Amino acid sequence: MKSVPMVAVIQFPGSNCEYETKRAIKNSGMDSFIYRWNQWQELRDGQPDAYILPGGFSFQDRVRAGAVAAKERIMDLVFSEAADGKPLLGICNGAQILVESGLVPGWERGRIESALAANHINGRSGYLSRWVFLNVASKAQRISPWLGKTGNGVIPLPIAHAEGRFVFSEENRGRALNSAALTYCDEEGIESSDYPINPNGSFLNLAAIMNDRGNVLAMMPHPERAFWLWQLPPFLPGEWGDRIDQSFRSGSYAVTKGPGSLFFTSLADYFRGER
Amino acid sequence: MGNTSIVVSLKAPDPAAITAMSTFRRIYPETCPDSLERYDYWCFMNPRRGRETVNGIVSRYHDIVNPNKQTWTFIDDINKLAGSDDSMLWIGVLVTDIIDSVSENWTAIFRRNCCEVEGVLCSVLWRFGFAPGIAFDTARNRVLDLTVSTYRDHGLLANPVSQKIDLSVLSLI
Amino acid sequence: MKLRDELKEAISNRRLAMTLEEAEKLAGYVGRMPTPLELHLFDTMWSEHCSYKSSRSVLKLLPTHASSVVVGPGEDAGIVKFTDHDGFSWDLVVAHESHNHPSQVLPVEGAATGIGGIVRDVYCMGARVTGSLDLLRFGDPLGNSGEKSRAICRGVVEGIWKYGNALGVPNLGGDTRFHEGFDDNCLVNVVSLGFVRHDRIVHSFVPAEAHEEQYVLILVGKPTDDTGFGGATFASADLEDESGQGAVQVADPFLKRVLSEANLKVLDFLFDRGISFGFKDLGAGGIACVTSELAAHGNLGIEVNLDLVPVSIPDLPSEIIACAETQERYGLAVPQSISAEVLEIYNEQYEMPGLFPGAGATVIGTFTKEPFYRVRSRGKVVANTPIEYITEGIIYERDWEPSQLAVIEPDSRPCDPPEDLSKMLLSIDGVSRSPVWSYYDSEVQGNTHFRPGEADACVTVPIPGCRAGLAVSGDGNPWIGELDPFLAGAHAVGEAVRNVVATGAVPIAATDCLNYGNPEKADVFWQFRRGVEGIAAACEELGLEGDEGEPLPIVSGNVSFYNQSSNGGAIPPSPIVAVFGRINDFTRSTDISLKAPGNLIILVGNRRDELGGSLFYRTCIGHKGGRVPAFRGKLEREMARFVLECCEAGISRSVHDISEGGLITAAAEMAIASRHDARRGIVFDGSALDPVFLYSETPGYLIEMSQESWNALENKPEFLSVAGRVTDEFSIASSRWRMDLWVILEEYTNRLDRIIWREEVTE
Repeated sequence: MKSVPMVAVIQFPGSNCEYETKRAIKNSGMDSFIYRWNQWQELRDGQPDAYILPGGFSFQDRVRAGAVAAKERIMDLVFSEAADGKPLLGICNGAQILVESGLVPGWERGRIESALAANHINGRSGYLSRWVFLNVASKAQRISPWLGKTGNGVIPLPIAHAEGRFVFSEENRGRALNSAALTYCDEEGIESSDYPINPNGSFLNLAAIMNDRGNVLAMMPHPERAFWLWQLPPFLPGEWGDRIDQSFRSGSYAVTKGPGSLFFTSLADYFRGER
Repeated sequence: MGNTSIVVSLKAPDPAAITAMSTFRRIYPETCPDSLERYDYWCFMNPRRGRETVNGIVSRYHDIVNPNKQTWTFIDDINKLAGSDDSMLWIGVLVTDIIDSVSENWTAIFRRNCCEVEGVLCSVLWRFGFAPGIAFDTARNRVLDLTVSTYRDHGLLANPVSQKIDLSVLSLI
Repeated sequence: MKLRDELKEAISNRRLAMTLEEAEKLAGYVGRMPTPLELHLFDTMWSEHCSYKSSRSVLKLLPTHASSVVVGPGEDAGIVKFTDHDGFSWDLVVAHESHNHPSQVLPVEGAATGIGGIVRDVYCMGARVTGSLDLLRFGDPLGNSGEKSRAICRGVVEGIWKYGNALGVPNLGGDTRFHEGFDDNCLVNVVSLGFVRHDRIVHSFVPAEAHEEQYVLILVGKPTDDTGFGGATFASADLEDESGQGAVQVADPFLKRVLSEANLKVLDFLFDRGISFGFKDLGAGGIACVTSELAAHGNLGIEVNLDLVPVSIPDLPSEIIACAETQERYGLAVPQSISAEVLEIYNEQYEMPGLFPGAGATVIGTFTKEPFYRVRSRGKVVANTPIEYITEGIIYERDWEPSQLAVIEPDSRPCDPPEDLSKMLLSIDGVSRSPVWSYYDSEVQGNTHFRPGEADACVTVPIPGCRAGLAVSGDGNPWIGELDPFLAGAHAVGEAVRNVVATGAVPIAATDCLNYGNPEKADVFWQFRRGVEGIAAACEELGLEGDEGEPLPIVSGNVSFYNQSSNGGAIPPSPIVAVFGRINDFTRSTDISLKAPGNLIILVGNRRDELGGSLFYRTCIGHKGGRVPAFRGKLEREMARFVLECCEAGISRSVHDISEGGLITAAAEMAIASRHDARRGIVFDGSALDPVFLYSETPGYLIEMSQESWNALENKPEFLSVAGRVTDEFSIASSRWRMDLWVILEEYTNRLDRIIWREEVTE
């Protein structure tokens, strides 16, 4: 391990959240580099300590979101590194790539056992941007390097996707519960499958799933868009809304971290524990 | 009564078909088809006046077919659409989301606006074209292999966890 | 055949928009029958879209100079100084265009390529694009052509999200309005903005160094096809033929995103090596325009070999290869000596040919000292003209004739505040636009502070690590346009300025898009002229930055004529203006959501009896005419200064400008924006039963501040008064009436979704 952990951000053709993701990593006290999809060699030589597949529209979601990028050669390397236990996070389009790679839930090596299908909303189709609230599954918080410091409260984050509905076959319901990492809820932490609390019809209200070991996490919401408190909507209800008011009064609004920072802080903390 | 299906294609080259084809070429150079076409496939359920009803819907809603960029035909006449080459062996595979808002929402709109149809189901129809000389069963197996994505290194066009795959549509043609 | 007849035949066969006189002028320039390529090239260059031939003499009225302006109108985008940070000066780059006609015919692709074109304009100045806005005007969704208008609205929004979101440029809102005058001709105006380091501004001409060293022209992007052929002149002809022979093409945001990344790398490479270069996007007129303009504006000639152009369709005629408007392409003028390294970045590092067949970078031309524009194809010279003629342009002085403006007030104005407020909020003009915004990605890039709907303008923090915030808003009211073309222009500026000021930002620049009917008609040209005069008058008054007396500069813009239906009815005069502001510390910016019960609601701007064109007249008493609010520049300026001072002093808790629906609607919108676990409302002082007080759209603001802050204000100008106070009830009320907002909240939020996307229109 490097003295400062280095997180690789993989840029596929069509990724578009790589720069803010890199900033979030750096603002959490870690180092980060962006690797293009064809920089297989450079990525291997860089020996990253963790990997993030950022949001965006790799290959413009053609055929199916994430499906084409999952087959890029650079994913061979990411795949074997994840198998070795390196932390790997997919955000939004990155989550779609992880699902299409079979990295999550990852019950059988390399097998595609889940899907991130088109949002299912009565009267609506296509893209949806909105802020949601999330519960962190307790097992996930215990084992995943991305969730250790996410705390006890409800986490508000924005979603922005057209294909974000986790699907499992019905016989895998029990196993899917075990792979749950984040679930949609209201600002008080009460889960519901009703729109808009569950914004896309996701199975079991899943917003993120992980592999059995917890090192691979696929999440649809965007933590890098809620890294600072000032990125949150001014009318946000709940605890984080109160924090906006408090930081505003104390004059620390510009520099107070937001709920999205918790995921990156968790990783930094995980590395501190390893060292 | 019965269902009436139409296929819709872009007048310009279809970007999704181009990307799918170049992915096939890269990762399955041995088995990739010689040509790949992509169509929107709309199956209208029990249109009251058959093709006449469907004609009416298609000309009414430009979201479904905008004649300035798309051409369409009833599924039986798919070979009349530009791009079809008679000398090739064509195999169609229909990919349908098991749960699909687009179909549900259009069904609701058609019912509300008295469009004389019980509902609609949208799918994507992929047509694989193989150069003459290939055995039908070989081609059919290749289509299945290339379509059904069960492992990262296996298949591309459909994820069976959330999508249905139907090869029978070609028997309709 | 006589030359004149030959020209006539060419115009008709080739569907050229140029007149016979223009064609004869061209023949005079080249001294023979022009080649097909020359005809199409000049047809584009002399189109209304490119040459501003009808509008140029009027556009001179607009103030374009101020001490902050770095690049005014003329290049692909305008540039103003923004801020200094970390030892560098950062400039704001802005562009504004229309994509009206294509969007009417192909809503998805029209809106998509509209964004595509405008972001290219900003990229090619060397900037990172950090935002776009869409200013949309659709026909009445519940009117005679409702079904068509709804489908166009759906398609345009789909085009915006499918393209804009994929591009990774946050959508910073804009506005969406409906009016039956747009039934046959929607408006899709697009604004794009970005930031560039001052020392890294790129220009769209071949640099002076090319006189000493051999420069070449690299074409990069998608392979050329035929689908865009004729697009530039398309915007300059009346909208009649829906087939439009492929005027708009399939946009490719995916390729564009990769291309943008590769461009950044190429620009870094060129700057790091200290190499001068020229860069320009391909828009109207395709290769022909980009090559000739890069050369002409650098006082050089160029020789282009069309055989080197990658094409996706075989055997295209040379004039189509040269003039097709295939999307996602740029032209780059670099020294021949480093061209191989540039090609390597595009073709090897970013593997463009592997991502789309035929895409990539290729050298297609050589700059020459001989001042000629020469094009070769298959061993033949297919264009050969002195380069100076290409950019010379033409100009027309159009006739104009004033229309009589009748001011007709309604006979009576019954006032029932709860009922009226409910009608206004739930009208198609009044309901929430959140169904539209829910399709937009406003947060990509991670710099967004206020999203659409949260404040009067979107606010972003575009330079990571720097506290300077950018506020942006666009506006234009067709209902005012119908009644008074001058005030439409003035209020478009005024409203956009107020939106920016309400967030606490100082306006630093503006752009405009002038959407009108056929300029050859004297009454339409008068509307256009009055609109420009209105914008100019407002900009002269509303310069709030820089030296005393400086205007708010217009730094970029566009004119769109021939917006009319097949029966010749022009759209309502639609000058649409975007205003850009800067707030030095973004944490001081104010949103519109009510905060604390007990706070005062301060009214800035006394209400006047001028309800013409108001939402109240239209919706509550079914009256369309009336006296439109006057534009009072000096007062606007003083009010803006006051609002900015309050913000600077940190005493404003929320600020909302008063516009459609008047004071009562502004109050309701502030309440609806309050936290849903801490709902707030407003109770007006006194009985509040006066339609002028409640509904007049006289420009103004509402500011929420504490009683202590109000008491501590030393200077209270006469345009201030206390209108009411914040309550912890979700209602708008007075001593005489009360409107419970819970009753309408669901309908207010979702009505647009029901009408446009669900087609729930049977009332």
